[in-house]
Amino acid sequence: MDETIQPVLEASGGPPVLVLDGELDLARAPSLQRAIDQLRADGHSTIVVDLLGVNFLDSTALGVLVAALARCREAGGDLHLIVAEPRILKVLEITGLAGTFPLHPTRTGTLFLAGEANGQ
Amino acid sequence: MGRIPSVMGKTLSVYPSTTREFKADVSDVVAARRFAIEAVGSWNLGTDDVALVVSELAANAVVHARTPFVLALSLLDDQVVLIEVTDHDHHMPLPAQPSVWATNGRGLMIVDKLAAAWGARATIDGDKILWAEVRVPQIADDQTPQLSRHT
Repeated sequence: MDETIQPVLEASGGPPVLVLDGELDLARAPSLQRAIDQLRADGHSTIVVDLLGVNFLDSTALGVLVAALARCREAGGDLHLIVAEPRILKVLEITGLAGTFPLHPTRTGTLFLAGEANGQ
Repeated sequence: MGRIPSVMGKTLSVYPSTTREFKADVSDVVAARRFAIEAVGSWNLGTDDVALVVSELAANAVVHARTPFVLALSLLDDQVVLIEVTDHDHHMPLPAQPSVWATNGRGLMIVDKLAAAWGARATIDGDKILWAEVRVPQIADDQTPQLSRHT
C-alpha cells in the first residue's frame, strides 16, 4: 500500500493527531504502523488517533493500535483514541479493549493533553 | 424471500446463497468483504457483523493458510447468514485467547463474539472450511416501489 498517513500537528503544542477515515483493516495496517513508527521516531510518546471518520476496524488494525499503546506507555506517554462510531466501539468492547485505551468522544476532549505532551 | 410449502408437507427453502473465489492476497480480503456487504445488503439484511466476520475469516485464509479461498454466503432463515471460507491448508486454527497486550490473535475472538455458532472442519480434499453463523437485523426495503399505486 502506498498510502501515507500524515499526522496533524497541533499548533497548541499538544500531541500529534493521526486522523483516519474509511475502513481501517489489514490492508491499511502497514500505513498506520508506518505513521506511528514515524511519530515515535520523532520523539512523541503521546499520540492521539482520531477514528471519528472510521467506519470499519478489523483485528489486524486493532493489533497495530494495541502495540502502539504499549510502546507509548513504555515511553511514559499514552495513546488516545477518539471514537464515537458505535461499530468501532463495539469492536473495542467485544475484544475487551474498551477499558484499555483512553477513549474520547470528540477531539476537544484531548485538548488537556497539550501540557502533558510538552512536559516530557 | 421466505419459505413455500411443498406438496410433501415439508417446507422448501428458497433462501438465497452466493459463492465467489478469491486470491491469496490482502486486497482480496477487502474484495471479499465488499462482496459480502453487497450480497447481504441485497437480501435486506444488516451487513456490519457479516462484514467483520468475513474479513476475519478471509484474513485467516490469506495470512495464515496463505492460499486462495472461496467465500460462500447462505441465508439459513430470515435472519441468519452462514459464512463459509474454504482455503487449501488443512491446518486447523488455534483457539484464540489473546492477552490484553497481544498484537494479533483477536480475529477468531471477534468471530466468536459475533457469531451464534462457528467452527472449522477439514474436507476430504485436504482443504479446510472456517464457518460462522451470524444473526443479522432485517433492514426495511425502502426501495421497493409501491406497485399498487401505479395502475
